[in-house]
Amino acid sequence: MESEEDLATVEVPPGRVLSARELLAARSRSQKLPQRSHGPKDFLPDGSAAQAERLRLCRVELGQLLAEERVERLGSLVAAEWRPEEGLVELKSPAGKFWQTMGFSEQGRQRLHPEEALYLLECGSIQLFYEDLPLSVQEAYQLLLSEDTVTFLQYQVFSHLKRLGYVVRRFQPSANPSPYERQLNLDSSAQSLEDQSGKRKRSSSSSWPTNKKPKALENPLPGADGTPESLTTSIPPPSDQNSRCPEEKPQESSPVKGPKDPFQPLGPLEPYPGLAREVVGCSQESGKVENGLKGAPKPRWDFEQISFPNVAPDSRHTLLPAPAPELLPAGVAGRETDAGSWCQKLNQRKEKLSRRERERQAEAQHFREDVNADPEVRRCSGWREYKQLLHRRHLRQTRSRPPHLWDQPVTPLLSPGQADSPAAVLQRISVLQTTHLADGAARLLEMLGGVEISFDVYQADAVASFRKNNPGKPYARMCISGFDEPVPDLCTLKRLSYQSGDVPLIFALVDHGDISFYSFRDFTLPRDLGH
Amino acid sequence: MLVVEVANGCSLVWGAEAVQALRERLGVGGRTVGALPRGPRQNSRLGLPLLLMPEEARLLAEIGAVTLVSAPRPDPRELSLAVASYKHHQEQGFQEQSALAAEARETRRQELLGKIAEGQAAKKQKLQQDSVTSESQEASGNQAAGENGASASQASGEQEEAGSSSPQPGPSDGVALLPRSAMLVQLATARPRPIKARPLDWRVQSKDWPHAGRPVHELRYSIYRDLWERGFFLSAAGKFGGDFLVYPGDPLRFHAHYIAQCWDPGDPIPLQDLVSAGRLGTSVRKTMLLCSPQSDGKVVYTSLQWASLQ
Repeated sequence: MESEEDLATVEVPPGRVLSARELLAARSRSQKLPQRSHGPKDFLPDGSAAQAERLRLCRVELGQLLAEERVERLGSLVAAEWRPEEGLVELKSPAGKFWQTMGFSEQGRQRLHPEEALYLLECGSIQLFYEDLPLSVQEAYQLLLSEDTVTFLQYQVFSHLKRLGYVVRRFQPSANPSPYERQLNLDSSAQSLEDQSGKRKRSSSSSWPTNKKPKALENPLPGADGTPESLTTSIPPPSDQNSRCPEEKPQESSPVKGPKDPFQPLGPLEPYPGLAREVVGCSQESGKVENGLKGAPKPRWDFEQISFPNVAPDSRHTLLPAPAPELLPAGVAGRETDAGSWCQKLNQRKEKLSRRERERQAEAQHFREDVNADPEVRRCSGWREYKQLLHRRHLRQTRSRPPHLWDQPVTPLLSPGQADSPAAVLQRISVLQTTHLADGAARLLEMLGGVEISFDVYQADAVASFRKNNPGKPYARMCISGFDEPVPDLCTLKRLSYQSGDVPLIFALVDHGDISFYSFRDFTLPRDLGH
Repeated sequence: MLVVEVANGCSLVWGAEAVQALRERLGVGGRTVGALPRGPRQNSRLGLPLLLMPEEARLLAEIGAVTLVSAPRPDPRELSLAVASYKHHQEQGFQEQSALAAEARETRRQELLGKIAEGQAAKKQKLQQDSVTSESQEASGNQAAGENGASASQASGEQEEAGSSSPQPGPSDGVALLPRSAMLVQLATARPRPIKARPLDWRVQSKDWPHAGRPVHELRYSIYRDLWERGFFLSAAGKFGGDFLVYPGDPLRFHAHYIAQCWDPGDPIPLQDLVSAGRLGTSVRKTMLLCSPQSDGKVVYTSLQWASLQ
């Protein structure tokens, strides 16, 4: 059997090995790429000597370029070893400049992903060893590129992007914030915390504005006319809470100024016993309010008397005094606490929205009316009142509806009050709503198989400031696919867009070494609202 | 005969001579996909390896120009031997390099000998003048020695610069040893040792050759072979929505004239595809070729043209 195998084998001739003299000669060879200066391409071969000569020159030049071997000084090479069992390359000598954008440390060792090691080998930056032998580029291609590590296709795209100057890292799904985190703007808060450790001064000054904001807060609700009179009466001692139930103050319908001195600890838990009593008292008079349909029921809770703990990021009211002992269950001791440390952990930055998100939000706001904007609704003090209000409105509406329209089996789609513009009508009666690529894709995440995101790509001009442990938001994410593979279906597309978040997703299509980049974009058809 | 290694369906050529032979003798271009040693950080000119389309590899195998082999694994029995031989060669290489560097330094010194002598003479003269003018003897003596050293190290050339930590400052040492870090090493492109590999049969589907028997491959191959036999150069045309770009000569000097699309004669062509193919062809100033192999082995070529009727 073995002899038969031996018979069947073919000897692969070795590559060129340079002699010492050739190595030295390689030092002085030109480092410049020849310009393609053989004139514009011809249309047809005409058999002329001039054409043949130009072609010969091109071919000679190409042959010389391809035949050149990489020659480096031993001192400028970083030694590295291929570890097939881990699918990684470990550095054996201190890393070079490439360490700023490539590689990672694990258990105190400097490591490279196979694609990075192969690229660096091709650049003449590392010498790669396996089983005590230096690997040629050919052997490295064979050993490092496999289905388990990185495929040939992926490496082609990786090296293409690297040669263009981009910083390319493996895609980290965990580094991508979940929609919830994005909503809370947690990623940027994590960044600001990290920044704090480095540049404490700047971030602390920005997160603790001292005197300006509390002043602005003095008038917390716009439109509240704080008369001097109400100012003096608005901060009563908690003891006379009962006497200040709303029915006794019929004039007071708008909230008045907040506490005068925002720096004074407010004693937030103090009024709570009073509040409890107030709720009880108010529920007794609820009947009265229900009767007064037109009598503009006033909010039952006098907010100016209830002081809430101010833990807003722009205020220093973070000292929470000990709670009243009667509120605590038996055996639990309350104590004073300072929430300052928590405030620091809260994200205090304004949420940054991309233009698309802002547009979407504005659009949503345009069509969605805030229920709280309705003064009648704001006067309701509880769910029950609100429901009653709705019921009353419904009755009123049905009463005013013309019976020839509304008493038929088929009724209009909208009642006149529901929409006041063509846009609102369109929005109300539309059956199909436009969705976006990433909408509702969270449930698709469990689906496996198909195309996956391979790389995070960072822009070339950010190389100088790039930090591996805090790379920031990628410029794009890269999916890699061969030309003979099917186009990803909508399901895959949605899942990948969702995974990518607000980072553009780009598909790299490799056709026998030719790489083209494509991306799928959301397109919202414009809606004619003018007519 | 050339040997081309195939792994996971990719046929790669690792020798510059082989690339040249394929291109110039056989009219098969392939595409370079590696970094060029001279300029590894640019994309306009790439280097080895050369990637062959499956059709190209199969054609070369069919006409007997190359042998396709599965990428070989080194024999573990020969590993220790290879390591020993590598170490031996490396040491030998370093010694040779040191000797060559010393030699180069010596020749350069010889070349500059005249200049050195001239300089020394001038210095001597100056020194004498200085002594005549009763300057401090000691200081100028030191100066002369310093300059002497400087000119010597200048004479020793670049090698000296490369190994800045070289312990030998003067030219008078017999064998100048280069520091190890200044030794040059080759990062070989192709495997530096010969190796035995098993030939790959392109007629049989396998992990390394998944193309065999695939209808798309068979269709493309029949078209590729026919066009190649007519003397055209072909390359992949995915960017143009076709199968092959067809060049009248070497793509180094000529633009492609046609975009070939392969269609099985029995397959209906959707009208939309036809129109978009024609549109694309005219917009890149190439002729769209619809290529279909017939049962008798001949290939029918149809081009698409907009009739100029208004």
